[in-house]
Amino acid sequence: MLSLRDVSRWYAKGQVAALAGVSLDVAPGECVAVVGPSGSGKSTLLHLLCGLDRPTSGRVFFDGLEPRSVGDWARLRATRVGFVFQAPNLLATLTAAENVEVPMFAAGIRRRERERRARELLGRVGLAHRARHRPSELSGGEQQRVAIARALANAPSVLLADEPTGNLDSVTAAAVLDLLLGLRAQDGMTLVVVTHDAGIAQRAERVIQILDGRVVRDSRGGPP
Amino acid sequence: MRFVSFPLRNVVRRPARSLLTGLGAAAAIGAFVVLVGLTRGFERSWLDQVEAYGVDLLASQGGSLDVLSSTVPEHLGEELRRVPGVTAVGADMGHLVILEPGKAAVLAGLDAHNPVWKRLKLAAGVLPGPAQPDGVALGSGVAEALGKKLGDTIRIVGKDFPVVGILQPAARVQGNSIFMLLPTAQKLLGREGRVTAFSVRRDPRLSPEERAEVLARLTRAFPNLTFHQGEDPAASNEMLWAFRAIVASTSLVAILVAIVVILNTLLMSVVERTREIGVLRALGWGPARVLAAIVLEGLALASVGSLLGALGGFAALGALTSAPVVRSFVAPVLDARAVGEVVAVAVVVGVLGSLYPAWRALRMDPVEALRYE
Repeated sequence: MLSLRDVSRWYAKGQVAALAGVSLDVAPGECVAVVGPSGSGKSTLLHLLCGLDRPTSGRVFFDGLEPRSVGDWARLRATRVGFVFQAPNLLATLTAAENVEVPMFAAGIRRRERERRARELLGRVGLAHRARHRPSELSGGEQQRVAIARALANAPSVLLADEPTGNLDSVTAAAVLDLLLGLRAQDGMTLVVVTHDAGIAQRAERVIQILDGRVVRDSRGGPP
Repeated sequence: MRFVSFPLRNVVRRPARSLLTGLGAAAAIGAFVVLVGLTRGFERSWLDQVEAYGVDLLASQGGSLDVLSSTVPEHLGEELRRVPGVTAVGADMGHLVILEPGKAAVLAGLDAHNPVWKRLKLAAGVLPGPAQPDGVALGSGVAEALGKKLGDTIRIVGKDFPVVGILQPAARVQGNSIFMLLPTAQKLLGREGRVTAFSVRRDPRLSPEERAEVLARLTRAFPNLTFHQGEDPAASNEMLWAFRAIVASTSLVAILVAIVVILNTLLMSVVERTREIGVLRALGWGPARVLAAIVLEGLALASVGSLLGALGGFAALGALTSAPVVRSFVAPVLDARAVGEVVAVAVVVGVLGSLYPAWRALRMDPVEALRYE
C-alpha cells in the first residue's frame, strides 16, 4: 500500500538529516504505530508518506505508483488519504459540519452529498448534535472527533495520524483512540499513527521505532 | 456549504478590518465615480450644444483656451463669407452672466443672418428682430429658474430687457441661454465691432475631400483664427482634453490606492492563516483551489468597497450637480455604462489586490505552514 525505498530527507542545506536511508512497506489494512523521541523524524516520515514533504533522495510509492507532481499528491490526499493532526486544526469560521465538508471540495463532491456525508460522519463520531457549533463552542476532545470525521470525509483507504491524542487529557485521549481504532476496524483502512503514547503502541499490530532518522526496531505489537 | 461561503466567512470573521478595507477602497472608487461622471456630463453638454446649433465649423481667436475667451473683429465675417465653398457665416457673441446669486446663464448675441436662429424653437412669443431690437428670448431653463414669462423684464449686466420669447425645452446649454441681437449684446458688453466666434457652414453638397479642402483654404487665409470641426468638437477642444487627462490620471491613482488597500489586508489575512493554508493543503486542496479562495476573498472586499464607493460617489455627484451654477452646464451622467465601469474597476482592484497574497500563500511549504504557530 505505502512504500519507502531508501528515503532520506535533509533539512537546512544538508546539515540536518530528519530521515536517513529508510525503507519500509505498509500493507493494506495494516495498523502501524510509529514511535520515537521528539525530533527523531516520525512526523517527517508521515509527511513523506502522503507527499506533503518530498524526499531529498529515495522513492515513495503509493499503491504501487510513484506520484511525482504536487498536483498528483494533492489529488491522492483529496481522495485516498485522511489526515489527523495533533491539534484539531479546525477552521474557526466554519461549523463542525462545514469543517467536515472541507476536504470534499477537493474531491469534487456535490453540495447535497457533502452535507449528507458530513451529517453521517458527525453521527459516527457521536457529534450529530454538535453539527452547527463552531470550534470555539466545542471541547478539545470534541474538536478532535470533528477532525477525525473530517479525515474520513472522502472515505480514504489510508488514515495518517500525527500524535492524534497528544493534546488531550488521558481520559479523553483513550476515548479518541477507541474511536479512531474502532472506525479503522469498521472501514478496513490502513492506519499509520505517529505517537508518544505507549497505550496506542500496545494496541497497534506493528510498531516501528525511529531514532535519529533511522528505523531501529520494526515489530508486531499487541493485538489490534 | 458552498465554496464561496468559505472566503466570505473570512471577510465576515474580521468585520472591523473588512469594513475599514472596504471604506479605503470606497473612497478611491467614489472619487473615480465622481470624476468620470463629471467628465461625461461635461462632454455630453458640449455635444448637445453642437447638435442643437448645427455648427459645422466654429472659427475663434487662435490661442484662446476656450471659445468663450475668444474675441475677433466682426468684419472678418464678410471675408469668411467670400471664401469659395462657404455658404453661411453667423457671428456670435457669447458671454457668461450671473442673473441672480447662484444662477448663471450664457448670453448669446447673434447677428441677423445667423443660421442658429432657425434652430431655435419657440414655446411662446417671438424671436428678437427688427420689431423688438432690445427683446430677448429665454431658454426654457432660464425662464423656469427665474420664473419669467412673456412680457416680464429681465436684468442682465445691470440693464433691463423685455422678454419677447420663451424657447421649447432643448439641450442643456441652449436651455440655459439668453438670446438677443448681436448689436444689442455688443452695446451691452461694450464690445462694439467685436464678436466671440463665427459659425461657418460649408456647402453640404461637397464631398468630404472638398470639405477638407475648404477647411484648408480657410486655415491658410485666416492664420489668426482656429477652426473647430463640428463633427468632433470634443476632440478638438483643448480644455476638454486637458480635463480628461487630469481625470484619467487622478482615477488611476485612486484605483492604485484601492489595490494597495486590498493587497495589504489580504496579505495580513494570508500570513495570519498560514497554518490554515497548510491544513487545507494537507487535506488535499490543490494550488488552484487555494488561489481561488484568496482571489474570491479579494473580490468580496473590493465589492464591499465598490458598493459603498459607488453609492457615495453617485450621491456626491448628485449633490454637486444640484448646485445651480454647476447644474446649468453639466448634467450628471449615471447610466448603465457608469455602473459597468464601477463593476469592472472592482474586479480589477479585487484580482490585482489578491494576486500577490495568493502567490505568497502558494509559495508556502505545507509542512512549514503546519508547524506555524
